[in-house]
Amino acid sequence: MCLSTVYIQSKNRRIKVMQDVAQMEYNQEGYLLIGLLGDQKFVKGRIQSVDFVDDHKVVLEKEGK
Amino acid sequence: MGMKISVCGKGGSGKSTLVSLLATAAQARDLTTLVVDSDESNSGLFRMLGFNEPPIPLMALVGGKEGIKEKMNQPSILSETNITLEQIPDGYINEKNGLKLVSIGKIHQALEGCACPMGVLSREFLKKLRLGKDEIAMVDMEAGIEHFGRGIDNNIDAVLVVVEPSFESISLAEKIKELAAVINKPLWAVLNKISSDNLIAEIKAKLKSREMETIGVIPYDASVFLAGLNGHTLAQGRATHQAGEILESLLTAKT
Repeated sequence: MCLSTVYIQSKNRRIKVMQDVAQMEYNQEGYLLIGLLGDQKFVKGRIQSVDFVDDHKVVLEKEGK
Repeated sequence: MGMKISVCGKGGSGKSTLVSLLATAAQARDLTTLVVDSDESNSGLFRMLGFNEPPIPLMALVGGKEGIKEKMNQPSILSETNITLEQIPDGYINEKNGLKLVSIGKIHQALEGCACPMGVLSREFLKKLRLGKDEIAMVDMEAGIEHFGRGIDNNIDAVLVVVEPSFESISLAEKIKELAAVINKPLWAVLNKISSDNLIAEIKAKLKSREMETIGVIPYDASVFLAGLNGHTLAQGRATHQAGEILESLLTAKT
């Protein structure tokens, strides 16, 4: 599935934030996640990894941890 | 609560034909029938169902593939928790005598990219779709098995797999049975394009040995063949009669 699933990683926990993410917009604090059906969520952090094969997984990590 | 039935199988096995036959049979039983065209390649289902034009694809509600980024952050029925048939906006649903048709979306251009957004839309629409007790939905799936990987089948109540007389079709049906079992969906086979009783018995036995029950056989019907050839509506005949019996069996199995 080409739509992405976004996770936030903090220490030993990885939490799913949103799935079917179609667009991510960066601003100075983090990312606005926009889903295919119009749902939106803002999440603070920076990108740790993007996996284009496995679940189109985007992992964000909290900054300053 | 109504029933959501998906119709799967190998390309060319007769999925759209079976969907149309079942929809016609359901209409004759005064059930409100929603056909969900979830095949992004097939273009003629609306004609088989007796409509002159296809409905506007639900993809257009999120802007279509070309306008998706501009429109996807605008609310639509697809952002609702539940969707009833009455909520689907005019133009996005075709209606005639209790028969309704929606289409998820179609591939129109070479190099336009993958069909993943349509897969998500199909899955979410079927998840949110709420049917009344006299309403039934039939989903014309894309050929093959990718829809299982996309989770579209998670939101249906029963799977019908159309089997034509070929090793490839039987093998694919077995794979579909395995995938449906993983998500706990009941599955039955419907035989199509088989004219001889001996061959019907042989293919039923092959399916049985692979732990698949046959719920019905669509007999050869010249009117169905001609309608398919000319892109016309299916007429009442032997095939629609048999589809009615398949529908009865399905509804009985559900209750």
